[in-house]
Amino acid sequence: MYEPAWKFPTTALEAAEILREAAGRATPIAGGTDLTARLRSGDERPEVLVDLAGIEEFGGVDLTPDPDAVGQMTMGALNTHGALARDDLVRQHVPLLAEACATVGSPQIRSRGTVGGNVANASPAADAAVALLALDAAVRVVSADDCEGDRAGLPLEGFFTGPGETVLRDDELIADISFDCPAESARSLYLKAGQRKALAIAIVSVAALYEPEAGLVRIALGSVAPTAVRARDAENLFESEWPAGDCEAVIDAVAARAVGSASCIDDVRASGRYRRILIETLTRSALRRLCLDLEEDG
Amino acid sequence: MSDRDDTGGPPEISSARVGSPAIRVDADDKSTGRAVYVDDLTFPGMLHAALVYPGCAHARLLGVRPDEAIRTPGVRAVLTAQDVPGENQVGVLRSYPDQPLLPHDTVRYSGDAVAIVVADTGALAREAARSVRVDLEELPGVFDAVEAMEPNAPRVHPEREDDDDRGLVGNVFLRERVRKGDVDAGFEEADIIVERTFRTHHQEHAYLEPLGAIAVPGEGSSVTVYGTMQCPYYVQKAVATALGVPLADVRVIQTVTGGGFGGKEDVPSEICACAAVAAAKVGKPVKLVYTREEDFERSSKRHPMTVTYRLGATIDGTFTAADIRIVADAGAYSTLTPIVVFRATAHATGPYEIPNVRTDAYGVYTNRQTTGAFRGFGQPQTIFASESVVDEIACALGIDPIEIRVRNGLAVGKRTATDHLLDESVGLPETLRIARERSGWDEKREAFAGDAGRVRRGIGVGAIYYGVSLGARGLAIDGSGAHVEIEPDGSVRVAIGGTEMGQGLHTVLAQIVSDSLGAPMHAIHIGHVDTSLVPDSGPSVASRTTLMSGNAVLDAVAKLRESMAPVAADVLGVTAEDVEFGPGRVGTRERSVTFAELAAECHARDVATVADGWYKAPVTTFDEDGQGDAYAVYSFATQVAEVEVDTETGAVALVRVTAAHDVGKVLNPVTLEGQVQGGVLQGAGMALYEIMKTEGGRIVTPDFATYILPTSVDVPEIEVAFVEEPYSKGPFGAKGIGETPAMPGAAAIANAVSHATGIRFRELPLTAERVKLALG
Repeated sequence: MYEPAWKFPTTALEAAEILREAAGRATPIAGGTDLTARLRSGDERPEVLVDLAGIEEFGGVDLTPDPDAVGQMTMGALNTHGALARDDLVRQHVPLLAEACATVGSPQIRSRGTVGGNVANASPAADAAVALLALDAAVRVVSADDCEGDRAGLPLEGFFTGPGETVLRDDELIADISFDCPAESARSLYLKAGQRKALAIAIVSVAALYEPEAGLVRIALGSVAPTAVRARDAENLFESEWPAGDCEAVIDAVAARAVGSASCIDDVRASGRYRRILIETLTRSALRRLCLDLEEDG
Repeated sequence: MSDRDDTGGPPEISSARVGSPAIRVDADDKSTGRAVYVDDLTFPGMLHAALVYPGCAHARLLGVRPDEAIRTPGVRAVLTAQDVPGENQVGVLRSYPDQPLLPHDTVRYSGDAVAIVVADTGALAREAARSVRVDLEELPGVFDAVEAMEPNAPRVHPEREDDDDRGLVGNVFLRERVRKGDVDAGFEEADIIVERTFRTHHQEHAYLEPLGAIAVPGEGSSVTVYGTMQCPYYVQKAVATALGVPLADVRVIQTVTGGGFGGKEDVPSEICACAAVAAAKVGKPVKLVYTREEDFERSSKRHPMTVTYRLGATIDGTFTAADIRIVADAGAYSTLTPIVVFRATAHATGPYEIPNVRTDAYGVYTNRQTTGAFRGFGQPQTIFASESVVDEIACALGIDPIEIRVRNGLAVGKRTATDHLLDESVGLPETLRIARERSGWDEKREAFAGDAGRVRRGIGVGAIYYGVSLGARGLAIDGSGAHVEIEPDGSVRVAIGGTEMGQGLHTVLAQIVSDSLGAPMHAIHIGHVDTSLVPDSGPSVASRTTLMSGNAVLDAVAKLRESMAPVAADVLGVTAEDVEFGPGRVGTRERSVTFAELAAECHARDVATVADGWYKAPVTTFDEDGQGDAYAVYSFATQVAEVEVDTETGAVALVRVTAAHDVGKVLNPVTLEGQVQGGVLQGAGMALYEIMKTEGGRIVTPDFATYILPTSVDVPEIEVAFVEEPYSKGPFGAKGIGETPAMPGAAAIANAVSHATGIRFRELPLTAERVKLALG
């Protein structure tokens, strides 16, 4: 009979020491919305479960002001999707993240699932992670050797190494996630195509952010590759072409270019072919709305 | 005793007359969690069972090696085919003995469990079940019915002998047909002929409560089986067969049942027989409850069908001939396929009078999950085909789709495809009229056609008819019993043979008893089925239960009134003929007693206050050419669906559904509306979302994360309207409603999507991907 031991640390150091001692036989659990399903199916059977819920330092949302910009936002790993979707600071400064968090699962899942778990779980479809990728977020990681998190600032791009895989070592924990808030003038959208209107895992998701003063877009894509990805080529094309010439044609070209950053597969939700179509149409739709204020394609 | 003028208290007036929105009798228990489902039940010394799965869809079974499992502490027994004490057969139709309870030499689908493990806890049993070694020699499988008809297809039942004369060859084990008029001549008369082929897929019932059973051994060879089910009398027979004991030794008690939709018609026989065989072996109560994933693996589905539909019409839109071919995927065993295919065949034209009809239907084995009863019972699939072609003909002729349905639709005096002359209770024309009016059809049909932007709107219609109860080829008993007993305090105990599975049966039966007997609603106590109280009443399926149990209860009530009326007359000083029962009181307009007072008086005078009732359905016929009065009466419905298609993603949003249903008589408008709303959602699921994906015959969408059901957010605005064309033999004029709400939806939605996009879709579901790829 499978019966894991449960640990309830109250500090990051305590949790990290448990993980180090267990040497790969322990798994941290926060909201547990993904892990409990894997435990039930038997896909994962750690000897020890390290419940992070009591670690206060993994909570909170802070904005560090910056005289020249909006400032840096830092959110503890234990923030739930529901909390972030409702958080005033988040809604005011990074509506992209609030929108993405609001599309996660169901109200019950949003009330349990955490942003740290969303990142650590490394699903290519992770909604919050796709938005954070577009925000150039960084992950602060702590371990027993480094409980201050000197490995701070691990860029999220590069953090994911495959489906369910990250650069995190067995003895490491995500403490918090931070990013520079976009400029006041920035506009953003999170578009998600699912199999139904709610309680849907993305077939494709697009997080797009447009900074008119800089003439830049940032585009992150979900469910189109082994990890959430940035569409760097498309962003570069936008930067070099915008706003010269035919704006709609630029957007069309950028949207088409975004497909190149994907390596779509057929899975239980959709075919790769459909995913490639969605990347282009959703990216185009997002950019038309963000850059041209066009609500609808003709 | 008192009369109305000096009762000294408020008159005992029932608020629950037939036709009123009585609150569900089970509302409190279900909303507070007091309702006891099978998994909530426990018995002293109870053990737990789990099943051992083969891990593939088609294989020769060489052996089962339970050694490791048996050595596990807490494991009490591992049973295989050799341990079935009676006959190792579980199929509901005795004329198709093709399904072993536990397979002994061949595994025919991925849910074909080969052994039962019994242990101290459920978790232990499941863990031990995984350690049982199953020796298999995998065989090539066949997973599509059309492919299974190919001469070289792997045979699912090679032991079956071909019957060339009847065309039962290879995996084809069943044929049904309808021959009416002269089809070739009918097509000669036609100015337009449209022929199309349609495909539908497996659909999961997705009831809230998974299958479960507890078997409790009793004295001698007797056993009591508790479980979630629609058809306790099927279970009784299955358990008696598997144990090799008389029916009288098997008592089946239905527990509170969390939804069925057809999925708990025959399938509970399997789990109950497994529990009973295990309980007999260990001599202790044994519980077996499926996980959701197991329930997906082991339960029946809606039949995937490939339907080729050819329809001819004259230039004015009058149908002249229909030629229909239906291929139904039965899965690994016949189960209820013969009955489902009969119904699909009899109704294949849709609710239209067509003088010349040729329908050929085939039931085909594959190595997939068995397919059986699912709300609509084989009809939603053929309706998708027929209603699509009817629409296509209407559009080609420039006739409004509802208009062409009115022109050809069944009405009193018209004849069905089985040549059944309809003489009463045909509400189709009225449902078409109401659906058209309430949906704003005429304006929207025109307005939506002009959409050219990213989001295109569409409106479509589906019309259906459904033969109520089992009909001519139903192989179960088409009678139903009831037992009504009045206690000295006026409380009334009612035992019935029909099951409450969430549809609201107990509430409408309480209303019927209240209304006809004069007892107040709160005094009526209706229990779940106990086979020891009421004789075999057939299954609770086919929209028959209100009709059958309702009439059985009325029969018992009539007997009670006969014995109680003289007592009331004597007490009140009136004549027995003048005594009226209800609501809440018994007597005449001037002088009456409460029901409780009358009950007490009857007991004081030793007058029997107990009666049994029985109702037998009218005789129906269906000859070998599919001609006859196939069903006693039909329910009719028209649904109009409005959609918005996002041409960018292909996503179809169901915006509004107008559902007009002819039910004969509304017994409870609130519960009835709920039934229709639920059915609309199941139709939407079939049309837009639900697809059971498999790899090598194994389900890869065995849970609600991957098998996509509509959520509450996907629910459209639903307007429900009722038509009451009374049925002379129905309780208060009522006929069936259970099935019809789930039937027209898929066709209506597909027609609406076609209206929005100009593209005809001939395969369901209309997922965003399918629509987008078609749009280009």
